[in-house]
Amino acid sequence: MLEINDLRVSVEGKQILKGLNLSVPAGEVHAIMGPNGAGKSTLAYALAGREGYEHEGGSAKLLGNSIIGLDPEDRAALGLFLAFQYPVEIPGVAGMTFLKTALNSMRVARGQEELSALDFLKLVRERLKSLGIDEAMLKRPVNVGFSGGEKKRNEVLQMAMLEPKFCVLDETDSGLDIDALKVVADGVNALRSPDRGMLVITHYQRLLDYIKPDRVHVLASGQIVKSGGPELALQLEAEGYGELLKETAA
Amino acid sequence: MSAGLQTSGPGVDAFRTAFRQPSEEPLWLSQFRLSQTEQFSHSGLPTTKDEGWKYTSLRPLARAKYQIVEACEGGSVSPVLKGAAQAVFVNGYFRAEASDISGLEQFLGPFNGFLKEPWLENLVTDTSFKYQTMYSLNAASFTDGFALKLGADQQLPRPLELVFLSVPGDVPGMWHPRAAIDLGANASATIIERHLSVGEGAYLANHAADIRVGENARLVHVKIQDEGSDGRHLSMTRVKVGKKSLYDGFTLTLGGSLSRSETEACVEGVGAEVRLNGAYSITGKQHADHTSRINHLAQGTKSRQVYAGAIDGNGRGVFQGHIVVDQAAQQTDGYQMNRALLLSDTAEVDSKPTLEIYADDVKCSHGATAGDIDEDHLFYLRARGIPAPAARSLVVRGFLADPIENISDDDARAAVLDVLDAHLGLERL
Repeated sequence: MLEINDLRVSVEGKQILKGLNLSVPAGEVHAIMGPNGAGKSTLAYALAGREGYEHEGGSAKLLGNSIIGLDPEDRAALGLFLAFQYPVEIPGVAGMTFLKTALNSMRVARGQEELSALDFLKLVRERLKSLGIDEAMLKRPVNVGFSGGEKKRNEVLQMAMLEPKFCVLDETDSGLDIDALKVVADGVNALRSPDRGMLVITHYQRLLDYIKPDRVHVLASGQIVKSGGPELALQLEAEGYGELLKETAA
Repeated sequence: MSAGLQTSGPGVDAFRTAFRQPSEEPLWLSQFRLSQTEQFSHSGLPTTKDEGWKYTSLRPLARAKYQIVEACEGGSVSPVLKGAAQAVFVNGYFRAEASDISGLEQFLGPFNGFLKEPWLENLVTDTSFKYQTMYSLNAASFTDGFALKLGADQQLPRPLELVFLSVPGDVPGMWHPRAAIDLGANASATIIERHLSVGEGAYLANHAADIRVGENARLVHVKIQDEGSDGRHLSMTRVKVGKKSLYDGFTLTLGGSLSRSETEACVEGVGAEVRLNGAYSITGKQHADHTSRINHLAQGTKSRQVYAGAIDGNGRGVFQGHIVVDQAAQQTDGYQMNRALLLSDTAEVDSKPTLEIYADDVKCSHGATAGDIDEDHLFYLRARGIPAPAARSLVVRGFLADPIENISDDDARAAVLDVLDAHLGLERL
């Protein structure tokens, strides 16, 4: 579903991703772990199409479509969703307006009809109910004054509304206590499905206690240096990145 | 007038035909017009050397050869406020047949129908305010307008929407509508002014208003200026607020090639509050000026001014806010802020917030910011599938919504947001 080959990306003239290879089939959840500065967030932003992340080589395909060079909105329309490490506060824009604009923009981009206000409201209430989120949250401006937990739940709600084909979760556990983490992980797990892929980017293993990955990859110095099953995350937790990196360098 | 010719100020000749020869008007009004005519003739149009006009040039006005127009027919406009009474003015003239003011006996129009009202003289000839040249031109030239009078404890039975429709013709026209609003003690009212135009063509709308808010009274006064790209819009509002009263003024500026909305407030009642907030969204070569002077004259008075503007293209925004705190006005609480979002490399903003304080126990602060659009905001929205232009509009909307949130009347606030959303091509839920 997501196929990345020899991807090279630089930021401000400095190459961060140095020939990254990764393949995530539909229905699977893969985790990317790595020390600080390995290029984890760069990978997330480069996939989502953020400005300033220069493509220097290699390919990235979602469902066979190359996403290199596409605008962020076009990547979203293809079915890519980035759950932000730090969801952005947008003052003065109500959550409801934001969600409706996003959903209908994508429908238009995909050649579907826009949802009417009524159908939209029905859908959003359904999703709110299943995630146990109060509708009041959507009357407030997007993320403004939200706690860390509320912001992440809002990301999950957006995911549930927009129904992406592929989700990239960037350090979803950061800023969350254990209770909030469980709630968010439940939301994410509910969205796991045979025709959806996920990439969970995290520094710590604890998130993977709640979102169980099918595969774990270790990212260091802009490349995947080791891949394995869920047990790899536990090994990292026990030994730290240092041991493993020494091992792979040898 | 012949003697005045030698001493006349810049650009006066262009407006001489507009000066009204008083007839069948009360003596006080004739005298008022005469003195204002003389003042205008002497000072003429302000130049950028004049204090208060440094950033806004009225030079083009003198060249435009505007002419006074006759009353004309005008279409109707659907209200932005549900259930509001509506008074329609076309090219400055009140059009009773296009208006719906049933049950609103507090509304008085056309203007010449009530010039004999005893309260009017007192309100209009108040000398507490500084000389303002375009106000004088209005006084010298006005032919119509309206008055609103609420007695003590009266509440306007429904909000009032004033529609000032400009219908430019082949020749550049000018009109000088006049307003007089007087709220008695404990009275309250919500007024929305909408300034619109139909069709293309140059014109000058030069408004003047005298407003008094009595003790413990409350006036919500919202202005939405969404005129055509050839329109020039000037307005001078003079407000006097009494003890513990509230004047809640808001201006949304979207249209016009040149606009200036100016307010001078005398906060003369103990514990009174004045709010002058505003938002503007301009592009092309639009020039939008918001100027205010707030005179704190009594103890424990409060003023709040928050402006936010989004400037694109070669647009230019001007904010000048002057707060004066009299020696008697101890415990004054004054705040003013102008925030500008510059959406292009050629957009420009001039902010001049100033304080003049003669009391020693006051809390006053002011500030101004100007910056580009936040790329993080845009990226977040675009990552959710919202195309770049719509993402930009949403961010602008968010930026401008901040001062709008201060409007104390829920319906008026919603109406302003509706107009803004329509302007930005956004749809509300």
